Amino acid sequence: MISTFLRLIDRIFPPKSIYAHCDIPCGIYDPHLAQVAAHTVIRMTNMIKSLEASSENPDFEERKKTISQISRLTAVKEEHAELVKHEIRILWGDYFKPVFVKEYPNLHELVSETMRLASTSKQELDEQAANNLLESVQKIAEVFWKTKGVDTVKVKTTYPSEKEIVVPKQTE
Amino acid sequence: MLPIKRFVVKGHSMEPLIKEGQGVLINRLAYLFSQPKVSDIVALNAPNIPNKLLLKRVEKVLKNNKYIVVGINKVDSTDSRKFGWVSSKDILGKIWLKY
Repeated sequence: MISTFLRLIDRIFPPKSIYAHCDIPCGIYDPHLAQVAAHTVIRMTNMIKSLEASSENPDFEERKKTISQISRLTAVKEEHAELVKHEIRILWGDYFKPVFVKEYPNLHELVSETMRLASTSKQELDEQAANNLLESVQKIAEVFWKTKGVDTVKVKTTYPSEKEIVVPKQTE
Repeated sequence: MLPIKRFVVKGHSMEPLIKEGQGVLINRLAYLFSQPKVSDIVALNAPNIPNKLLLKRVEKVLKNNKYIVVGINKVDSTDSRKFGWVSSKDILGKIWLKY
């Protein structure tokens, strides 16, 4: 009750920040998690879309089960779309430097587009947006590895989303 | 100046107790008549960074009102292990509530 009230106050009058952070540049960044999360968004979108009723007027038990399934799938879809945004924000804020933006001028638009697609994937049941989200994240992954002088390759995953993932190319 | 002040937490060094994005209320009068104790979660001025506040846990009380403060999530925290002890004048208050 108090928490809800305080959060409401925060929305009206945003509080200042207090930092519980680590400012050690650990140098550990990887676009892998963002890609896996984007795969999950595709999978959840497809699973929701594939749900079908057994008849035109399913009984109450079936309706309850379907509502429960949709709720769970939607929660995971939104959580992972947010995870994509979180991971990309870290790369954008902590890793990509102005020199990289100069070298890859489309990076800014790419990040911006990824954020928009992740939001659309959260808000709607849009298969195209989810697929585009993965593509956009893959492009960021390719740029990321290029900035490290590492070649990449797209490999087929074994995930049920049946899509690819960008990984560093193995060298002999 | 209000005795209780709201803040939103940024960063992960106080996890799992306080997560990023949670709100906290800091009691700025908590140490008016007493001193910070071990395990208190305190708000403090970030050493050498003006106008930046940190949220840390008191790990050790040294002599002369000096304190060692650390994050709960020690693998992801910048604290006394990096910037050394902090003095009582830099400790602004104690956490009163998280939400």
